[in-house]
Amino acid sequence: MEKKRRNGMAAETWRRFKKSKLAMLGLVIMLIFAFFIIFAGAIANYEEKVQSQDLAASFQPPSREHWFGTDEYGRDLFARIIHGGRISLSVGLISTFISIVIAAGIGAAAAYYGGLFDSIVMRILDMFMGIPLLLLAIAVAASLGPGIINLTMAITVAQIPGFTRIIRSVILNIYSLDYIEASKAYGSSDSTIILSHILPNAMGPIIVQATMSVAVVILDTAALSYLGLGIQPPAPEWGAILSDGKEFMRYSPYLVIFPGLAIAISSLALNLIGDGLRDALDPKLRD
Amino acid sequence: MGKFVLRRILQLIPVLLGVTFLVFCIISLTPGDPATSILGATATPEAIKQLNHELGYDRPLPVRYLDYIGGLLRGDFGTSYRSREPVLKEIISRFPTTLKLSVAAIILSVIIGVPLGVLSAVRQYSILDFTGMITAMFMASVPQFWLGLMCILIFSVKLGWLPFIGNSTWRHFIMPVFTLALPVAAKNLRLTRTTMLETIREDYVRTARAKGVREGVVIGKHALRNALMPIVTNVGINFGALLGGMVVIESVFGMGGVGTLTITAIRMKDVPQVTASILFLAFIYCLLMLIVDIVYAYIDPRVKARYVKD
Repeated sequence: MEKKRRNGMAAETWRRFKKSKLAMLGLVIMLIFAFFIIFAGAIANYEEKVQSQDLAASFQPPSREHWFGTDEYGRDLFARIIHGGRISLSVGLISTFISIVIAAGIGAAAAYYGGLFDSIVMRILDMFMGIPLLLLAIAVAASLGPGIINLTMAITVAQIPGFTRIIRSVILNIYSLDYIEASKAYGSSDSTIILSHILPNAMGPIIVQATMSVAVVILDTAALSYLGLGIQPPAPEWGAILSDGKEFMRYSPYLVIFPGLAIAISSLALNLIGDGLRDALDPKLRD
Repeated sequence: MGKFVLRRILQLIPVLLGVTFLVFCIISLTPGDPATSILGATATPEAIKQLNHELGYDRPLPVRYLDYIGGLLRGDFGTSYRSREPVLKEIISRFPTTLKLSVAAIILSVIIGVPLGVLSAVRQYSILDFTGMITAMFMASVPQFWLGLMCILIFSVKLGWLPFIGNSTWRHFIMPVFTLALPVAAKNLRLTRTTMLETIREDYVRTARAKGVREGVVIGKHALRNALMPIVTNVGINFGALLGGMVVIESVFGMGGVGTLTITAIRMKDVPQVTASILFLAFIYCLLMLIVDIVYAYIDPRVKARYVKD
C-alpha cells in the first residue's frame, strides 16, 4: 500500500509537470542532448574525429559534412562538442551527486542532534559562505592543479556548504510538522520516522535544487576550464574548446559560437526543468 | 539600532578568521614548497632548505597560520615570490578597476532588472512579460565569459565600435560592465516579478486601490516598497556571484584588476599573492553582506522595532 501511494505521488507530480510547456521544452532539449552524448561514440569515432589531426581540413566553416565546421587542427567541431558533453555533464552530475550525499549526511545530523553540534556545523558553514562559490572553486582548483578529477573535487567541495544549509533547513522544517509529532506519539522508531517520513518529503526540494545546481556546475566547469584551471586541451570539454577557439574568433567565429551555445542551451534546459519541478512539487499550487 | 550594527560587526570577526583559515589551508595544499618555486628546479637542496627556513616554511601549518594572522593584523598580507614586494601593494593598485566594474555592474543590474520586473508583474501574461521572462531565463543560463566573447565579436570585431583590451578609458568599461550586469539583471527581473506578483495580491494593496489611490502610486509606493526587501538581500548575494565572475570577465577583457592578478598569480604559483588576492575578494564580500544586513534593518520596520525598544 505504501508503494502504491508513492507511485501516486510521482504520477501526480508528472501530471502537473507536463502542463508546463517550458518545462516540457527543457525536458525535450535534455533528452536530445542525452541521445547525442550517449551515442557520441557511435555517431563520431573518438580517435578518428576528436583526436586525430588533419591540417589540410583546418578552419572549414559549417557545412553538410562538418555541421559545426572544423578547428585549427582540422578536427570536426560537432564530434568534439558531443564528446565534450560527456565530460561537462558528467562533471555536473557526479559533483552534484557527491556533494548532496555528503551534505545530506552533515545536514541531517545537524538537524537531528541540534544543540552544540548544530551550532558548530553552522559556524563552519558561515565561514564557507564567506567565500563566493566560484572563488572557492578557483582556490581549490588552483591548489590541486588542473585535470578532470581535481576539477570535480574542486566543484564538489565548493557546493557542499550551500547544499548542507538547504538540506538542514528542509529537514528542520519537516521535523516540526504535525504528522511527525503524530508518528512519534504513535510510537514509531527514529529510523522509521527518518526513512519513511522525513526523507521522502525532503526529496522534492532537494531534487529541484540538484537540477538547478547541475546547470550552475556546467557554467562553472566551463569557466574554470576557460581560465586554464579545469580540463586541459586536447580533451574536448566545452569550456576548453571555447578557450581554444577564442584565438581564432576573428576569422572563424563558429569555433566560439557553437560550444557556447551548447553550454547555454543545456544549462537553460536544466533551469527550465528545475522551475517546472518546483512548481509541480509545490503543495501551495496544487489544484 | 547602534546595538544591532555593533553586534553585526562583532559577528563578522569569527567569520573573517574562519575565511582566512579556510583559504590559507586550501592554498597550503598546493604541492611543492616556496623555495623551489622561487629558486627554480636547478637550485641546490641546501639553498632550498636554507630559503625555506628563512621564509619560516619549515614550521608546522598551525604556527604558520598564526603567524599569517599576526601579519594580517599589522596590515601585512605577505610578500610576493615573484616581485619580492608586499602583495597588498599590487592588490591596492589594481583594486580601483575591480571596484568600478563591480559597482557599475550592480547598479546597472538593478536599473535594468527592477523596472522590467515591475512591468512584467503589472502586465502579467502579456507579450512583454513573456519575452522578458524568456530573455531573463536565457541570460541566467549563458556562461558570462561567452557573453563577453560574443560582445567582443559583435561590437569590436564586426562593428568596430568599442575597444576591448585594457582599462584606459571609460569606453573600455562598457562591454565588461554589461557582460557582468546582464545575468544579474536577469535574476533581479525574475525576483522582482515574483515578489511584485505576491504583494499586488496583498490586502493592503487592495485597500489602497479601494481608497481610490492612483494606480501608479499603488504600484510605486505600496507594492514596490514591500517587494524591495528580497531584492535588497539579493543584491548582496549577487555581489558574491559577481566577484567570482569578475575573475573570469577581467581575463576575457584583459582588464588588469584583482581578478586577473589572481589568475596570473595562480599560473606563476605565487602562493602569497594567490592567498592574499582571494582573501581580499572574500573580505570585500563579507563586508558587503554586513552593509546589506544593516540597510535591510533600516528598511524593514520589523527588524528596526526589535532594537529600537531597548
